[in-house]
Formats: sequence, C-alpha cells, structure tokens
Amino acid sequence: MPGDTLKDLPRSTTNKLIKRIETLPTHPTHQSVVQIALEEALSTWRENETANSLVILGKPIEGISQTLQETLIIYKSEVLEILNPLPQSIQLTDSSAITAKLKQAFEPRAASEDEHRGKRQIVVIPDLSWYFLRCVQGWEGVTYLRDLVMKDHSRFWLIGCNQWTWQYLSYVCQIDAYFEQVQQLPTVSGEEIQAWLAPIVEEIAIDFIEDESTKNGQKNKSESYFDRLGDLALGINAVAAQLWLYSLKYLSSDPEANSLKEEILGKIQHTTPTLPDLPKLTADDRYLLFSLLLHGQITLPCLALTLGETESIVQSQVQMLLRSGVIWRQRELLMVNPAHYPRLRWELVHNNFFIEED
Amino acid sequence: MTSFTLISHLYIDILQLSSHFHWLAQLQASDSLQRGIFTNITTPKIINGVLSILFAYAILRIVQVVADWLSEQVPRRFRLVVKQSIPFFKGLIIVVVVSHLLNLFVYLSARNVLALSSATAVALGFAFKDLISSIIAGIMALFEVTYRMGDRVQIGDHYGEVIGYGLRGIRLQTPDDNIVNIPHSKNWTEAISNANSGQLEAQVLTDFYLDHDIDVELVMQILYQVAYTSKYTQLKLPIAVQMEETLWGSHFKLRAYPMDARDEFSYKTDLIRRAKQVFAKYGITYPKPPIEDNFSNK
Repeated sequence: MPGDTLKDLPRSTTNKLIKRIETLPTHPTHQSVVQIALEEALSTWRENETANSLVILGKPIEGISQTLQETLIIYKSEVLEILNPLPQSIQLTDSSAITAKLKQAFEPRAASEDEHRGKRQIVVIPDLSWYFLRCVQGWEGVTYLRDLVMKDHSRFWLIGCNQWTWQYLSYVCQIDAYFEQVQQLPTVSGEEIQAWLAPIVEEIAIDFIEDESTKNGQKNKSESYFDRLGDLALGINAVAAQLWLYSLKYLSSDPEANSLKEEILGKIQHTTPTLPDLPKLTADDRYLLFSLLLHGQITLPCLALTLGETESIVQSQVQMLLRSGVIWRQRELLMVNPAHYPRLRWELVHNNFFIEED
Repeated sequence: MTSFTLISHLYIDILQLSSHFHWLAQLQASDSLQRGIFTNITTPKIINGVLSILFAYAILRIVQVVADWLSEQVPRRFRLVVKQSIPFFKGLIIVVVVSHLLNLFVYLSARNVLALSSATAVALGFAFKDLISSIIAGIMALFEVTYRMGDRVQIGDHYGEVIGYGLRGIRLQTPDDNIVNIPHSKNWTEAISNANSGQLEAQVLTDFYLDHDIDVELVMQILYQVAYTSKYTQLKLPIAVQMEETLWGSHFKLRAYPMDARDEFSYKTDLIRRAKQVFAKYGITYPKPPIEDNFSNK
C-alpha cells in the first residue's frame, strides 16, 4: 500500500531469531548421510579390524561436531558404547600443552578397558581442527590422535573435521594416507533448507512478497525463494540461515516508527535474498580470514600465533573486521560470519589461497 | 622589295614551317612526369596528423593508468593477466597511428616505399641504431617472452618487478622502491634471470648458518615446519631443505614459494624470525666465523 515501507528488523528480534536458529537441530540430510556412512564403516570394521575409523568432513562454517553428536544420539546400538572423551575445544598457544590435554583425556581410558570388554566402543573426536594450531609443532596433538587410532584397533574412531583443515593436514603430515574411509557432508537443496527452517518460519508467520525474483508462474513464491537461497548459500545450511535472516524485513505502516523499538509494528516478510557485500579487504585481512576459516573458531592469542604476528597487531585488524560484520566473537572465540562465506571463499580462491575444490 | 616586306614574308614562311611540326608544340602535361613520395601536404592534413599523434599519446597514457589501477583491484589471479596485456594494447595503438600517418602523408606505391625505407635505413643506421636495436629487441622479447609485466627479473645488477614495458625499454621497481629504466637492447648482450615467468609465485631461498654441532634432523624438521606454517606459503608448490657444509658451520637452504611473489621479502623475514624463535627454544647455536689471525706472522 502507498506509504508502507520495508524496514530492518529490530536488533532484539534479530538476536532472538539468531538464538532460535542455533537451537535448530542438524540438518536431517547430514544426519542420514553420517548414519549410513557409519553403518557401512562399522560393518567394514567387523570384517577388517584395521579399518577402524571414519572421517566426516564439513565446510569450515558448518558445525561438524554438532552433526556427529546429534547423529550418535539417534544411532542406538546395544553392542556399541559411544565415548566422548575430548573437551570442547583446546585453545592453548602451547602445542605441547594441547598434546598433554589430549593424553590426559585418553590415557585413563586404557586403564579401564577391562571393564568394558563386553561392548565395542565408538570413540568420537568431534572436530579435529580444535586440536591443532598452524605453528611449528602445532599438529603434535593431531599426530598423537592419529597414532592412537593406528595402534588401537579395538575401538572404532569417528572423527569430524573441517575440510580445509583436513587438506592442510594432508599437506603437512599426510594425514589422508592414514584414514581411508572419508565421507564429505553433502550440500543441501533449496527444498531441504525450506523444510529445515519451516519451524521458525511458521512460528513467526512470515509472508512472501511479490518481487522480480519470485514472479515465475511455474514455481510458487516460496519455492523460488528457497531455491535462490540454496544457490546463494552454496548448499550450506548455516549460510542459508543467515542469508534468510538478512532477507527478513517488516512492513511498517508507520514510516516514522523507530525501528529500534522492541515491538515490531507490522508483518515480517521475506525480501529477495542477496549476499551481503564484503568490505574492501587488504592482503593481511585475507591472511587473517583464511586462518579463521582454517581453524573454524579460535581465540585471539591463538590466531596471532597462527599468523606469526603479535597480538596487538592482530587485535586492531580483528576489531575492524568485527565492526564490519565479517567476523563474529562468541565467548572469546572468533569465527567468520557464515553469511559472508560465499563471497569470502571466492575472494580467497582468486587470491591464490589453496582451498579444497567443492 | 622593302625590308618590311622581306621580314613579313620570312615570318609567314616560319609559320608555315612550324605548322608541319605541330607535334612539338603540344605538351603532355601529366602522363610523362612521375609522382613524388609525399602526398599533397595541406594544412588540414597537418592538423589531422598532429591531432592523431596527440590522441594516440592520450590513449596510451589512459591504457597504462587504467591497466595499472585495474591490476591492483582485481584478485591476484587476474593481476598478471591484466598487466601482461598492456604491451600488446600499446603496440596495437602505435601500429594503427603510424599506419594512419603513413596513409595521410605518403604515396604508398612500391617505388616510394623502397625509396623511403632506403633513406630511413641510412638515417637510422647512423643516428638511431641503439634506439632501433632496443625496439627490435623489445618486439623479440614479446614473442620470446624473456620478461613480462609483473615478472621479477635480474638484469645485470638490477633486480625488481617489471612495472612498465615501453617501446625502448622496461621499467623495474626494485625492493628499495627505485625505478630503473633498462633498454631492451640488454637482451642481446646480457643474461636475463626471470624468477616467476608470468606466474604469481616465485621461489624464495632463505639461508641459515648454524654450528657444526647441531642436531641436523631436528633443524631440518624445524625448517620444514617453519615453511609449512607461514601464512604466506603456497602449499601447492614444493618445499625443500638443502644442506651444505662449510669450514666454519653448516649451511641450510630453505626453498619455498609464497602465494604472491611480491611478498618475497616479507616471507623471508617471517621464515627467519620464526625459525630463530624455535632455534632459541632448542638452544641451537650459530657458528662463529674464524677471525683472521693477523698476529701469527709477526
């Protein structure tokens, strides 16, 4: 109607939606792929004890650890015991301390092995990228885990890893030579993203508005919207969720209403999803962002170590990137904003960074 | 007969005689005389020529400025492609404007071209031989690809990135941020060492000099890891550690490639700085070169 304008959601609403997205379960497509791969790998292990591992690779901004944990909850077996000995993430700048923590987590297990002789065990390493740093001797922890897997054939090892980390570790310590069974998490389609986001869409009763991208008589508006969302997000649900959030506006019948007010004065609607613009990046920004994507999430001192720079220099760069929204900080951990991942990936590929081809 | 009558009779006789030789009286105006080399040079033609030269110069400057700007805006992968296209565009513009000027001022018959080129050869042979040598060497370098825009080359005592490719020579930007103009004619007489040959990456050699008593395996492992963990390293290309012995110590050479050859010196500094940190942690010592014993002969 004349006078109606689309406005950005209030910050409180956006924050609520972000928290709601975080509570969404892992995508069912990913869970079923992990489940099928795990069953095949376990069956192979029963026949050949040395094939005692399965590596699940995900994109740098996918929560691979969450995928493994949620899949294993669903996957029940009376003959298998699931072990999660490792802490969430070890953010230490001393690589030998990382290895010590890992040893601490695993060595008591050896002593109590006799108690569980009846059941075969699946040991979960939620995300291998948490236990390495790009610095001299920074992958000692990974080497320790690798040797443990090679020696201990009595247990099956389910290992999650960031795809970029896996490729890096393949270059530096040839880790891919030790693990034969590797499963890549697949991309998801627009339809699958729509089904995954449906609970939130229904909760806030969102409408689709008519615009150029959805004026296609052969598809309905929501299908076209989510197909476009899936394409922009490169089939990654974490990216799709953020782009979906950015595309939400509310139709204000009062143009002078303050958009920062708690209450939304109008109905929330989708607009055409688009990729947010990246700010102009310097060469140092690219090195920093690549390091962030290589580690998934990392503290400032560890990030400075991986860049070979002092914390004060890195801190100023981090502040600029936080301000521009390219990166986030959650509880001292820095990570790339998933919405910026597609453009950032393109930028890094075309600036000669080695990145796994999709 | 009077003299007047005699002269009149003589005049009439001459006229009657000349009427038999009418063919002498007719002149063949255009057919027998040959054309000159140059066309009819008029003021409009001169203005046209001058404007053409000015326009070509302006286009050349614009191409250089735009290409230099664009090469720094696009991702690294496209930077060298943009830079390497500059000499071709410049060559094309020069060829077009020279053709236009020749067409404007010269009758391009076979005879005229022969005469013109003979005169030019004599003049150039004496006066501009070095310039022509450089121009020809520059054209040869385009086809032989001795160096390209964006390449890092060593010519004589000068090392740097090729930032300009002109008709007469190239411009090198040295690590000290000096601009050195080197004529193309150096191609005939000097070896040209090209570090990257049109690629983004160029190998960087970093030397380390350590004591004889060090743990060689540990040092090699450290050097490999230092290279693997540098933010600049291009992991798609090989990393190698070589070793040589000298009288006073062991010489290690770390060969690796940064993602961008421009980061050559930052990369080397990063490798040395981090290697020295690890060497200090493990107590790896450096050799002491022997002091010349000036007193032994006294």
